[in-house]
Amino acid sequence: MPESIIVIVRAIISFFSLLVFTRLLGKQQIGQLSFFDYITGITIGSMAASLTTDLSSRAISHWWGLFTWTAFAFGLQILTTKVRWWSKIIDGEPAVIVHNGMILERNMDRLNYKLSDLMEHLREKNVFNITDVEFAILETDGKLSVQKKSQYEPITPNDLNIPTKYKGVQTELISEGVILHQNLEQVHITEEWLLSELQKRGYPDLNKLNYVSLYTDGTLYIDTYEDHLVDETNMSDYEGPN
Amino acid sequence: MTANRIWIYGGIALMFIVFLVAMTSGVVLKKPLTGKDNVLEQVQKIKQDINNNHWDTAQNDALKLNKAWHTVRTRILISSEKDDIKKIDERVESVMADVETKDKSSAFRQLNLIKDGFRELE
Repeated sequence: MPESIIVIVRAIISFFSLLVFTRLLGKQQIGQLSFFDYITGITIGSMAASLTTDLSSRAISHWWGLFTWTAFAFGLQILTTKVRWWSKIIDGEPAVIVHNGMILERNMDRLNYKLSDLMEHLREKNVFNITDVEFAILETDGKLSVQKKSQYEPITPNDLNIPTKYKGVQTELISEGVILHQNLEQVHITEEWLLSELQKRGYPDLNKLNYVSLYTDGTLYIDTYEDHLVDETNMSDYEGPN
Repeated sequence: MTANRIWIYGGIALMFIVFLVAMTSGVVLKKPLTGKDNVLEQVQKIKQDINNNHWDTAQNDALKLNKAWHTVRTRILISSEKDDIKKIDERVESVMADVETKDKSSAFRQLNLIKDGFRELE
């Protein structure tokens, strides 16, 4: 049996094991990572890679390593969810870096967070003036949350006492020509109604529809595969391969 | 728990069982399954042949050992370490050469190493 076949088999084992394990660990492994979650992700990924290609050691050893790390990470997640004290130990807590416009150097020292880091993160939030900042909080995943002083926040309808309509979330009704019946039920509309509305708007053929969604005000957004653009914007600045 | 979830969790459990069996199957698959894949038996036969100075028989048995090993080897590739398999490959080749050159001590050494290595395979 050629080595490549062994690698393929081990890759299948590694791939699907990793898929299940990361699914078990949930969104924490994908977004909003604390530093420990980040390290755990790298370690688990490294073990999965070794399981695939490191033929000099047994596949089962790597798999148990993968399983053990996942089990511990999962157990820790449960523990930090149930016991706040452990959550504080493992994940840490957000820390206030700017309070009422004043930089809290003691908190920054405690977290090894430099002034240059603060300024960089503020710029990433489009804050180029520290005087605009009311509060800045360093989250457990290393991101900085910024609340500007109210006079530097964009004006909202609330500020001008302008009433607004309710704005919910759009509901996908058709995706790539396929009607999403579960979503139709959620918004209490029937397939017959949908098809008649599409017919009225000149879209009788579902196969030509890429995406259809319903907004909370009852309007339908319809996108077809054929765009019929007369003058498509060309973003290319100079000649070259497309 | 809905029927869908039962299917999904059941499927995942079954998948893991298959993976674990594949990764630990060496212990079972290295045992003789057909008549011509008994590596340890062949090792013993060659030792006896060499002891009795039956070098022609030893040569035939060495060829059978090679064949038996290659049959077993294919079955245990997924579960076993590549280096362990490679060592046994080399030792089997060495035995064949030692039998051909009638090098008794080297042949015995290699046969013992094959026996030990084979027993440790998983």
